[in-house]
Amino acid sequence: MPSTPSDPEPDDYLVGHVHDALAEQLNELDVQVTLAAGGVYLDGIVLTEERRDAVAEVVRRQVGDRPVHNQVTVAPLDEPTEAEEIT
Amino acid sequence: MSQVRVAAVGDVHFGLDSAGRLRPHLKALAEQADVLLLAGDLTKCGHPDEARVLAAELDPLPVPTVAVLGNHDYHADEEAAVAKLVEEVGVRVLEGDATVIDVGGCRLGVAGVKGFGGGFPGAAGSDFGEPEMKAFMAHSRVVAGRLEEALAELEGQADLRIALMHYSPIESTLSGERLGIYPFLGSYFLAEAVDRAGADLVIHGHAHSGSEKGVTPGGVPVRNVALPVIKHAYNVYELG
Repeated sequence: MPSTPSDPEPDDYLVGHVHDALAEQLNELDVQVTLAAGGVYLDGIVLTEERRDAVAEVVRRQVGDRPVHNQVTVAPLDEPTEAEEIT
Repeated sequence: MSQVRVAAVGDVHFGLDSAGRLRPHLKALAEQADVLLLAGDLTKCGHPDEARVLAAELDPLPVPTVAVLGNHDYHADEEAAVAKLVEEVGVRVLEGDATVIDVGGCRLGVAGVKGFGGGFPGAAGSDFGEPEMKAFMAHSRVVAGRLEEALAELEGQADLRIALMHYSPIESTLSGERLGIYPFLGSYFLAEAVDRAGADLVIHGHAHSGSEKGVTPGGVPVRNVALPVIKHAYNVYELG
């Protein structure tokens, strides 16, 4: 068991801190964050392009020089073409 | 009894940047549906200014509109102001109560509550241990109890009954979410309340990565209408 502080911070905590930052700074609670060898992958659906870009910006500030892959999409807002009959 | 067409959407998460997001769709909505249900998270962080943007967007209402609040609407401790602002343009905001809307002679009853987390059978919290845990589960039980009472009050007053909530009453509409967060997404107390009091349909939101369709153990259809799930401005369900 190490008796000195770990440096850098273990990845396990980084995902939690990214989620906290998104909740506190953007009130975005539904972005999924995954760390992989190629960097940080973001998934989920937000409501505007601006919010999508803001998510990536907040994450970049949290993860240093790791590449951020922003796979978050913007929710389409068209009308439904048919109704569902509830039986 | 004539058929009732119910438009529903949850988690519109209106912010100061949201003006013009819903307005273009309200004319079509009025042609496709008789009522509109908003399943909570009307705002992004519960600030009254966000509710003002939504209220302006909905005014004038395309059809009678009923809402519940969601967890985001409570974040700024201004939930009463959020509710008041949308009520000023005619939206009926429910929390442990019910309303009846006459739709072409059919009395549509809607009982609404925010709901809360707590988990699902076999993986739920218990009224045990620290006061914080007891408070968490007590809130879950209290809001489910309010829903059951509101649904029961509609018995005999409504031809059709809908239970409107933000949190999920069942696991199956959470499918797609991370299993570990299920206890924060809903509570089976809500489904028990629906099954005990009876309803024709449950509408909820909150689970952005969940699934649209499910059913309570007692056989009541459940629809998760969180906007990222339905991927439309609203969905329409025909009842009756």
